[in-house]
Amino acid sequence: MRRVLRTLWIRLFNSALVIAVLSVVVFGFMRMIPGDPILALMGTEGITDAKLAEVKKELGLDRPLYVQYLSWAWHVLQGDFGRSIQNNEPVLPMLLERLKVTAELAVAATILGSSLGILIGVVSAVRRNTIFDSASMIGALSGVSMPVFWLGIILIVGFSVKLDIFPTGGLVSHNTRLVAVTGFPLLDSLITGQRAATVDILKHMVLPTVTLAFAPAALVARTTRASVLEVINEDYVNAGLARGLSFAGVVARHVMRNALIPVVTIIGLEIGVYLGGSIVTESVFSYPGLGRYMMQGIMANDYPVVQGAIILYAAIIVVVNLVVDLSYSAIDPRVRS
Amino acid sequence: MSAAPVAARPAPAAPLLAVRGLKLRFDTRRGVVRALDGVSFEVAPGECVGLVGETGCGKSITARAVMGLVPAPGRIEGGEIRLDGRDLMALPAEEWRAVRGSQVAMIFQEPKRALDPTATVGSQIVEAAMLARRIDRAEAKRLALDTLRQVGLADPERIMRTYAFELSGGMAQRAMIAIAVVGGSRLIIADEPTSSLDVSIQAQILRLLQDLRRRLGSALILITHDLGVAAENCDRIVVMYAGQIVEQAPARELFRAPAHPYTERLLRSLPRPGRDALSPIPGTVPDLIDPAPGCRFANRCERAGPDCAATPAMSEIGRRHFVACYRPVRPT
Repeated sequence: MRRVLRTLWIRLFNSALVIAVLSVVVFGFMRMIPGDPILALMGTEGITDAKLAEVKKELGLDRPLYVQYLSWAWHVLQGDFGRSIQNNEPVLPMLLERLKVTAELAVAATILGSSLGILIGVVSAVRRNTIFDSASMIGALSGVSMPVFWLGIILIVGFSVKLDIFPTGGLVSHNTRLVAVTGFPLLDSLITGQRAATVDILKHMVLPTVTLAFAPAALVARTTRASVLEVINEDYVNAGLARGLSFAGVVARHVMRNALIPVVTIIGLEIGVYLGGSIVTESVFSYPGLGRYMMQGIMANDYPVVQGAIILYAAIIVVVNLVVDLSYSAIDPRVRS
Repeated sequence: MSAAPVAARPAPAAPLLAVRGLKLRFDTRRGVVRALDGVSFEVAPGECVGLVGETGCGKSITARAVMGLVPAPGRIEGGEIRLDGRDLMALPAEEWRAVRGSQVAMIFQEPKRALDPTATVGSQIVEAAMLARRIDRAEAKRLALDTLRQVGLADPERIMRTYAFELSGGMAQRAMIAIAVVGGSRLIIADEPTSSLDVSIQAQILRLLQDLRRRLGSALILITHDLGVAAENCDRIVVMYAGQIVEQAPARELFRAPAHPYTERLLRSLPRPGRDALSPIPGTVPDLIDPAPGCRFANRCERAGPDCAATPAMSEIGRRHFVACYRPVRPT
């Protein structure tokens, strides 16, 4: 237990370090991007140099870079992410509000991608060298190599424009009213019992979720297949059959757990991919989540928004990785001791 | 000593296991490997039969065939496997599955690899008991604790909660034995059960197997490459070479008067006090892809002659002593 705590402290320290370094990088890069936040805000027409200088001074953008960074970092440490240059709203509440929308999408994509990937991977391994195996592995290869935005556009063209089954984008239809309780749209609609809104939100989630889950599902399927094939030749599989388990029984009771150890790592890493993918996916589907918020921030050179969003992304990925590492001990007893 | 001890056990009328003319092939890229070519032997109820031969002679695959667990791409081409008179190969897969663990059970060479590393010993033995005896979990757990005690594991409650990696090799093999016997099988197949263990533990495990066999009245097929181990533990020994049975006889008879030149060479290669050098068998086992017709040992045999180019049939040369050889060794 003591060792576990020690490991945990070291991990937390490393994580803080990663985020600190990242904050410097993001801060620097944002200022290297051509363009000016104030010009983006006010337009280039009829603005005098004097006026520009005045607004810059007001926002503190006239100070030396290191002062700006330290001031920003100091405020972030106290939980103040600053205000958006665009609309003067505090950044953190906006980030959290958007994160809730993205979180529902990411959770749905994780569930879909992992379960589909594991299912396809296991069946492919068990039915090795059959048509199912070949077809799904070709599908997985294309899934890994297909650009996310392109898949999103194809889905919109197919299922929204041609077949008209799902909406082209957005969180809800414009005539749907949402009562906010927790800020998680789907959860709120369930809590307040607005069945129509729930269905509407789910309909809007389908295509972005599929888009987001496709590549991770493909990777999970390939990893699972390889892992199951490795495990299936182990002696304990034969031993399970020898004591009267059916093949399906052995797979369910002894193969899965052992084969999933490497798959959990992949799923953990995939969470980062979901967040990264959400930036593109949300833009394609006009989904009002964190990714789209950050994209808009980048377009407007809105420093506090982009910096805040990236710090938030990084923090989430760090926490998820920590959880994945801890989850090994739940699966593999050898790690526990 | 007279022949009395050999004759003491009369040939039983109904064997528990009867394997007849078993042929098994592997289709590989290089060609068809005829891993088993007409293997026939019987095991009487309560009997201990040693299946002896070099690595690759087909003893393990024979065991897997009896379990109905031939690994791909292996395929049984002919012959029959009868358990209590019932032709197992004619059974639907689901019925053969029900036989495993309840009527035939298996013990593996490397116990730590035969236990699921992520499942407790207890869960695996309970699983075996529930499947074989169709009992509920609580009863299976009682039986599991009792069986663990029977295989000489002190503190069975603790053992139930352990994982394979927490056990020594000897303890893990005891746990595997418990998993094998908990279903009440009348035939236990032990595939090199002591090869991966320390010498001091080997004797303990073999003694435990004998002890359990007598107490539970089950038959045991002991697969080993060690003729000495077979001699000490088995009533009868079946010697395999290159996918065929070349000789079978009661253990004492085989040691007193080995008839097949291969058996005789195997015995000579055993280390014994008073003998200076081991006498390994020259040459190598023939390729089982398109083996030459005739006796498969002929190329390594010092007694081989022109007649060995035809396949020798199994003939009875003594009481329950069979050999497949044209030029058997005569006792001197």
